Parts: sequence; C-alpha cells; structure tokens
Amino acid sequence: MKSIRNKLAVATCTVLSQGAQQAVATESSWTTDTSYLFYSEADRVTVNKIITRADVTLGDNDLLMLEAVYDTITGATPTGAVKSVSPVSVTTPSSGGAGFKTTSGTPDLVDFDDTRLGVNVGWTHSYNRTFRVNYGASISVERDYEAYGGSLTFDKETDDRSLTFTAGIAGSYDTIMQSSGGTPEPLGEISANEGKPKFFEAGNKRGYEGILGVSRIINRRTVAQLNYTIGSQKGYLTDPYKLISSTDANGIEVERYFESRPDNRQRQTLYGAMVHRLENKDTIHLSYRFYWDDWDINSHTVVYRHRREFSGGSFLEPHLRIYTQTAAAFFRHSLEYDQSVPEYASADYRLDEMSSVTLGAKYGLPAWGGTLRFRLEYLYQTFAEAEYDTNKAVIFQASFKKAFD
Amino acid sequence: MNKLRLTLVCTLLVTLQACAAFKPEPVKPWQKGILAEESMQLEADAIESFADEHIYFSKEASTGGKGVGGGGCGCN
Amino acid sequence: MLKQAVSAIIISSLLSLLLYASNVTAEEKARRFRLPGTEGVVDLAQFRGKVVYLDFWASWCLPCRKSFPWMNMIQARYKDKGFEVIAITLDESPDDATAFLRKYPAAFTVAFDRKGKVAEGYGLKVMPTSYLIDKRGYIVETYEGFNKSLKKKAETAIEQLVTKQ
Repeated sequence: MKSIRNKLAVATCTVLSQGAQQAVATESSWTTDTSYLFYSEADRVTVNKIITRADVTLGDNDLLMLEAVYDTITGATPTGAVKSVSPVSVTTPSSGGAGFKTTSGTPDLVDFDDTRLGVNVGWTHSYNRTFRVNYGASISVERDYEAYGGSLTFDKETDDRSLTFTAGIAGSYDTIMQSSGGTPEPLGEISANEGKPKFFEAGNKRGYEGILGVSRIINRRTVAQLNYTIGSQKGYLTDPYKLISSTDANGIEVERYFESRPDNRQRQTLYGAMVHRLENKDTIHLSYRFYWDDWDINSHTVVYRHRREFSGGSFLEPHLRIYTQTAAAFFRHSLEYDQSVPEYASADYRLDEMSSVTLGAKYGLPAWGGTLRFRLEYLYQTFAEAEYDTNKAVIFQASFKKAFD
Repeated sequence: MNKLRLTLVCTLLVTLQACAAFKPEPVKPWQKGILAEESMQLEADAIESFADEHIYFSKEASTGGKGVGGGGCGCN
Repeated sequence: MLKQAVSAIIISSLLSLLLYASNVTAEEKARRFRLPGTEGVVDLAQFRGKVVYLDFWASWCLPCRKSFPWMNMIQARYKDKGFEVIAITLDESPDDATAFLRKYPAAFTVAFDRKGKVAEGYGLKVMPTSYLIDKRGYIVETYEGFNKSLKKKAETAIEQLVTKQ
C-alpha cells in the first residue's frame, strides 16, 4: 500500500517545472532511484525489500512515474494467541489446526515465508502553468494477497505559485486469504470439527479515499502543507492468520479462535508539515498527523528531521518519529473462557494501545554522478495489553539516485 | 519563583523568535533559490517515504495522511 | 448649430476610436536598465536598433541549464542580422552565477541584477522568463519557462523580427 499515496505526495510538490516551489531534477529527461531495505525484528520478522523507480519527462507537459517493489518476508510473527499452550488444541507440526504453519507447534507465533511484487505507475499532465492532473494505478501480488488500486488527483496553483490546492480520490480492491486459499470462519474455534475448522472462500475488500490539501510558500525559507483525508473500507477486514485465545483465571489457554473484525471502517486524518531553512543553513522538517477512525483508534504521529549539509555535497540527517495510538474497540488480550464470545474480537498487537519511537540517521553523498544515501534506524514499540508487549526492530536502507539527460 | 519567571520569559522569547522565522512574506520568483533545493521539498526522498509507509502500515493501525492512493499488501 | 454638433460627434468618435485602437495595439516599451556585466556595464539603450532576446535566469533554475546552449545557438545564428542575447542573472551571490557560467559558458552578454530591481520592473512571474524586444525597443513576446515548444516559437519570432525593417 501507500505506493501511489507516496508518489502523489511527491507530485503535489515537485512535478515538471511547476509546484509551489521550483521543481528539483525534473529538467533531466529521466531520473532513477533504486533502493535496498532491510528490516529486522528481534527474534521475529525479517523483511528484505528492493525498490526501483523511474521518473521520466515526456515532452513539455507530461511526467511518467514507474515504480516496482519486490520484497520477501521471513520469520515468525505473533498471531495474538497466548503463549501458554492449550492441552485441548489440536496441533500438527505443519498446521497447528489453524491452516498455517506455526513455530514449534505453539500457536502464539506463525511462520512467514512470502514474496511480494508490486508495481505502481503514475502519469502527470500539466494543462497549463498552474493546473495539473495526476493519474495513478497500482498492483500488488503475493501468495495470499492481491491488491489493485487507482487514483486521480488535481493540483491548482495561484498565479504567483505561492499556494497550491490539491483534491484527489482513490479506490482500491483487495483479495485476502490464507496461502491455502481460503479464509477462516470469523471467531471459529480451532478445535471445532475435530481440528478441521470451517473455511470460506477468499475475502474481498473495497476502499475509497479522498484528500483535500493545501501547500503554501510562507517565506523564502519556509514551506508548509496541510492535508485532510477521509477513507472507508468495506468487506473482509479481518486478518486470516490472527488468532485469539480464551483463557482461564490463570491465563492458560482453554480454547483458540480465529479473530473477527467488523466489515466496515471509516477513517480520517489531519496532517500538517513544514520545512524550514535555519539561519545556520540546516534544514528542518516537522510534521504532525492526527488519525481517527470508527474502530475507536486515535493516533498521533510526530516526525522531526534535521539535515546538515557539508562541503562536498554530503549531508547527515538525524530523524525522530514518535507515535501513539489507542486500542481498537474490539481489541482484547484474550477472551475469558466463561464469557460468551463477542461479535468482534482481535488480539492483533497492531490494534492495541501502543507507542513507538523510531530514532535514526541518514547519510548522503554524491557518487557516480548521482546521490548515494544510507540510513540506519532503530524502532521500539511498546504495547499495553498484547501478549507480546514490545517489538524492537532495526531498519537499514541504501539508495542510489541519478538523473539522466 | 524567579526561576519560573525566567523559564516563562525564555520560552516566550524562543516562541517569538520562532514565529519571526515563520513570518509570512511574499516571495518573488527570483527569490526561490532556497526553495528549489532538494532538502527543502516537502517530500525530499520519495523512495524512503515509500519504504517507511510500508513498514508503519504493517506495524501500526493508522494509515495515510500525506496523499491518497490504492494498493495494499498482506504484510504481517 | 446642427453642423457644429455633427462635427463634434464625428471628432469625438474618431478620438475615442483612436484611443481604443491605441489601447488595443499598445505595446510595452522595454524598460531601460544599466547593470554591471561580465565585461563592463550593460545598458539596454545601447542595443536600440537591434532585436534583443532578454533572458532572466539564476544558477538554481534548472530549465536555465538547457536554455544556455540554445541561447548560444541563436546568438551565433542571428548575430550578423542585428540580434543580441542579453541574459540577466538574479543570483544574489555573484559567485553562484560565475560558477554556473563556468559549467554552462555563455557566448552572449551577461549582466548581474543582484537586488532584483530590474526583474521587479519587468514584473516576471516565473523563472526563467524571456522577453523578445524589437528594434524600436518594444516587447513583442514574453516567454515563461523554457521548453521545446518555446524554442520553436522564439526562433520563428526572431526570424520574423530580424528580417523586418
């Protein structure tokens, strides 16, 4: 996800030779950027990602963007089930009864070994000096998930280009399943039917999103942006690999179920960002996002970057990201064995009340006629109720960008 | 009490100074040299943002804010 | 009495027509300037009688990198027909401009407008902007930005102007 989203954020600022600010590196015929990303959690998931992107100028009024991403994910991720194994559950080494492979037969972690291929394309056309239209499409395919999306965004600038207004809409259609091809019965018991819980066909979900934004040149050294987005998703919003345990008074698992989420989600965000050049020639970037949805999740995200450039064209940019969220209304650590099963319940740690901090730095330098960047970051998440209450990860990314004529 | 007053005054001064830096001023086309630099773009590194959005989409419950678009993944 | 009235009406109508006509066809006279250049002072008045392509640029302006080789080309092509390119840099630091000129050499007149006063007078909205000035000193065309279609339009217009008397 976020492929077009991302690209369109770029398009609003730096497309062709327009934009509230002068465009950068767009007078070349084309620019390529290729990146390798390594993400690794302590004892859990590891992701390797290769992204390549080309921005091509066509004629005087058109810009084409092509982006491809290939990633692999391996390792184990929490299912939401508790660690203390139930004697009741039926397990086989390969399926744990849940239709997927579990690490050493315990249901609290599930093994992943999947590859994904995604492609995004975008076309921006300038109708005149102050008006552009962006068309975007994206496809993402992996063994157990397919996603298709399209978007349309308009940018209109004032005559002196100090203000840019953006309006956009997007739609998406995803197909979700376990790699075996089906989706489990919501809140179906793992042990039901002698260890063969009921499965349905693959799930689908449709999403719609809209954005209204304005970016403004405040003065010679400051630019700011404010966006409002609204979106809704309908359909199969459950994660087919996630489980929730019902436990006794001692916290031992008595029964295990597949999770179940509502089939509807409405969300909104307010996002503000600012870039400012300080007197000492450093550049700072500060952004804040407030998110709220009808699953009762609210979140705050603050990002701060501070770039210092050195003679010779290299730069160092430390980065801090702070994030907090409230829990989804139906999030539970576990169910109580003597209570009736609710309509919706999920123990997925990502829906828990949590905070995370990311601290890192990026170093860039000119090389081979382009720019080489390296970044190293440390992510630390803490969760209020989830069975796995912390997550620590290391992020490393190396990228090379070059413009050609 | 003095310390508190001093802190308040300092905070006020810093805020005023900060506001002065962000004072809106019309910018002539030939004064956009700084704004044209890559480091001054609202999204300076698209490929880094793309990777980050994917990471946080997989690890958190919130999505979006910067733009709009389709696509997704079954990331866990 | 009637004769006088009719004459008055005819004269005032003619005057209004003239006024209207002059508004419609009124061209802007290119504002005169005197600026320091790479080789002495550059005064627009000295170029009267020649067709002038007046370009406003800056070292950070990316389309300007493409415009310089093209301006070299048209300068060479039309110089003997009474044509001059004048490129005014709006860089606040002349060092930035000279560094740019080392990478993209100019075989035409270059002048420095550090404070942007001349640009202010010309009222440019975009970087770069060029003005095509005829032999009488009037602005005939304004080109905003720099791209392929602009090159073609400008070459055609210059061709017409240099052959006009």
